Amino acid sequence: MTLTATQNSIEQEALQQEMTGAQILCEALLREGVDTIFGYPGGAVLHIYDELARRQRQIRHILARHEQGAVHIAEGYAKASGKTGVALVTSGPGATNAVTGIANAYMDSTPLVVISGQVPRKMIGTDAFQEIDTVGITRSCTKSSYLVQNASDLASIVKEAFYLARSGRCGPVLIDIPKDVTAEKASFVYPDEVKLKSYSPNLFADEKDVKEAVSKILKAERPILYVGGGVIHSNGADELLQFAEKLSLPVTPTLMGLGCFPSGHSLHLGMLGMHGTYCANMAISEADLIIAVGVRFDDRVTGALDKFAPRANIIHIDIDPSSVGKVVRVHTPLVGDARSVLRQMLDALKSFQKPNTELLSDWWDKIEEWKRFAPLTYEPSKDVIKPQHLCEELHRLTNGDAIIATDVGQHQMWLAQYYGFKYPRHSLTSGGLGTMGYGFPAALGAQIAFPEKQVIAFVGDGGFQMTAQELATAVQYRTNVKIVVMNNNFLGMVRQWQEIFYDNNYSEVDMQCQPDFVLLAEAFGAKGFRAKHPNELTEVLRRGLETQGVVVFDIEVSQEANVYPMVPPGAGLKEMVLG
Amino acid sequence: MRHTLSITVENRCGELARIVNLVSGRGMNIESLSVSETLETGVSKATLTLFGEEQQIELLLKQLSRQVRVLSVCDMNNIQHFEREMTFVSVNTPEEFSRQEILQLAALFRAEVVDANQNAITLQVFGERNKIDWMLEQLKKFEISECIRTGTVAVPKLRGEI
Repeated sequence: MTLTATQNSIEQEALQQEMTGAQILCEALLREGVDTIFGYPGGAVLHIYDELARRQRQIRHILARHEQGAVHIAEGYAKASGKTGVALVTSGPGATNAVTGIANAYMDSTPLVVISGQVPRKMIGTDAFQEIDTVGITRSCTKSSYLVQNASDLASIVKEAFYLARSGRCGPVLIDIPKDVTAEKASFVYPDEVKLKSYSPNLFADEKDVKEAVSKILKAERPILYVGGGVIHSNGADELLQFAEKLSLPVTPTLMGLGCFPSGHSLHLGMLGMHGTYCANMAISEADLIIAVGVRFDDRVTGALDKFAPRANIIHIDIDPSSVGKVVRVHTPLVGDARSVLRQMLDALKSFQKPNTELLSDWWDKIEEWKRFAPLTYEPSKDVIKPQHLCEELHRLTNGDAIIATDVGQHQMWLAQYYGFKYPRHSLTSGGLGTMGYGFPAALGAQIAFPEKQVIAFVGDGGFQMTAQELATAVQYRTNVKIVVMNNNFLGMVRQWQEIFYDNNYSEVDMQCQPDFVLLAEAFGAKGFRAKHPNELTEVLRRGLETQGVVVFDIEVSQEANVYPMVPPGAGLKEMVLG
Repeated sequence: MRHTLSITVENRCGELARIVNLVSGRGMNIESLSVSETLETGVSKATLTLFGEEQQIELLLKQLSRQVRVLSVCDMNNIQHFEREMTFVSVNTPEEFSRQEILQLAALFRAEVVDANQNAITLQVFGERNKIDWMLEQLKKFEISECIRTGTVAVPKLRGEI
């Protein structure tokens, strides 16, 4: 017997020995290829942390400073890398703190496995110390959840949880483990595959429907590709580019789809929706055929539904059958993974005559006219830093290559409009839930996944203060994450709505006391840079971005700038206010 | 409009709660709910009646079928089907003549006496909701001390000839 074979058989034997629940959990995580997890210890997870300390070489644990932070970091890690993020929290307050993170991942379909401790089985239901019904609380924001009853069930539950989190429409799965289960012994048997009676997501769409869709596209006079997060989740950006280029189709991404199509490309119309470009919103409104790929016709995208694309025939590609036809009537549903279905369509194209792109020349003339009529624009200033200018400078200094995470609000929209993402998995944003405090920890997660890449958190002064404590995490693990605080001393988007729709009646949006963000950075052992004047902006950004380690930029921008174009709530996409 | 939904789901801790959550999270109230295991081990069938607008119900059906452990969802309103429920009703009978009248009513509705003592009588009755509603209406002139309904169960009508 060779040495390796001996080792293998010893390993095999060791695995068949009885293990504690905590050991089983760690062993199962390794089988799923997990090498990094994010968490915060506590009473109910002590056995697990005891085991993790022994396995530091196999599983790296990143200690966050708050459970919400831990889950956001895990989500940023997952979104940037395409892996499944893993978070570990204790029972009671550990779990309730994690809920915002779990809900955020649910709304943005990010694959996460969240492991929470629970009080011992016998104490469940007794209002024990740090007891809360975690499965109950998270039921409506998880794809599936488990309360583990026996250590012998744990291995197959972990296997199933990972399978569910990263297949079909991805999402967070919760495993709640009572403390005594993590100490209980059972033999470790890891299943090879998961079979569920009720769940087998379609990768490919029906061939006949694909053919029908392609023939519609070839006949369309005013087609448009409306693309979103599904393209990124399925790693379908290359296929999308090929498909769009072959047929010279105009492309408009959603907020979640930023980067799935290169923004500098001539077929790119910019983002659509409430703060989308004039051109994109006009084009989708006038289209005779919408090819929707991995999108869900969100209300922030469609505007008033009765005015949305009234003349369009709609082809909808989505992995989630319940998303198809949920909001608008779909004429050709193609249920499947965005990349797989795009490949099917590329294949199907071969059986048709070479597309006549001449057919679209009138359509493209019109689109170019819209582009010229109202390009994204803002009034430059020599006295104050314009937020739009800040986004453009960031693009210029990073060559549009950085991974950038944002919260929700004005800064998020300006970055979406002016940064110009080139690659998928580079824009990490809280699209569905709209969580303030998401951006910085998410950027930190991306930086941990890619230590060598330029990763930036682009956040507002309000949102940054919601999870700023994670600066300690960023510094502890010697990351290079850069945090750009777009500081207008206002809760900007709420202020904008109060200005426009509530007759300038500003109510509780003025942040009258703010920390000195430069000193705050220094207090955590990070570096701080400040820019107040447009003259110094470029130099401050350049110096800061070149600085090793964690850097916080306090960038004071014009206080009452508004995001335009804007489709007022309840209006149709064509009823944009251009500013 | 009232809808009768038939949902096949894995018989697993917490799955019924997920279904109920989805309905109540939309501000809809469940009128009746009846669940039990099917012939297939590990699979349950729930029949649920509720009121909702067409669009609301359509959305709910989609969200229900998206659940990982839900095998199938059917709005029985869209197909021909039979609906039945069972009810126990106990009626006080302080006088002999009221007992006689109740027994006559019971015969009319094909209700069965399952229990009786000097002062009361308990009936069981099967049938469509309307029939049971109607019988209870008739019994209201007596003193009803207990009334328990199972909620609706529904089965699709067989196709073709006998």
